[in-house]
Amino acid sequence: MTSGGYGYSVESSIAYAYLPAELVVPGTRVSVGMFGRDVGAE
Amino acid sequence: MLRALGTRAREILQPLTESDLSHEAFGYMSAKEINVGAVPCLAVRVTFVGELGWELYCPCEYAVGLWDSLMAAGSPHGLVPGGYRAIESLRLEKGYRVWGSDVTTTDSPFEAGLGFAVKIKKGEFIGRDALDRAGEPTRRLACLVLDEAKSVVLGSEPVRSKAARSGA
Repeated sequence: MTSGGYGYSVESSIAYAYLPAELVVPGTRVSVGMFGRDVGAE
Repeated sequence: MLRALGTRAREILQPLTESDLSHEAFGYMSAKEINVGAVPCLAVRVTFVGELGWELYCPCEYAVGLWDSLMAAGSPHGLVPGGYRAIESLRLEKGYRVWGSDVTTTDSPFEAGLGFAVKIKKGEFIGRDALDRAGEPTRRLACLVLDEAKSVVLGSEPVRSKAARSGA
């Protein structure tokens, strides 16, 4: 993750990250390690 | 520096100055010295939030006066003060990248989604050879939407996929 925050227009938590190019397709599921647990994201 | 940001920025700011703030007279990415109320400002029509707006630079001793003028003129339009976290939310939604976190000296503009700003054919420039050699990026900056709206990342968290741990 490089940065992130709450998106008030989309009413969601959004964040930027560098990922392998083949994963950068809308709908790809990943998880984010936050405070010792994994949070799903896409 | 104070900013007047949002769809009503022109409505709020125009009555405070004799300078013409129309799009024709004060285009995007241009700057002019104008008076806002009683305050001399360098006004720059650029924002980091994806909305109409101006950045207003004034001598610091005038800042409170500028604030008061803007708030008085803006309150009937629903103007509210906002700080850096508000700008951060808006720029993330707009897709703007921040130097030092989203884009560093180790990231290429193509990886960062900033290829539109590179004109390879304009002639020689520092870094052109490296960009020419780089080919298609093997990594790209992606915008993720988290499943939990209340889980807000701070930066540097690991991202994992079923295929591989993909880094930070």
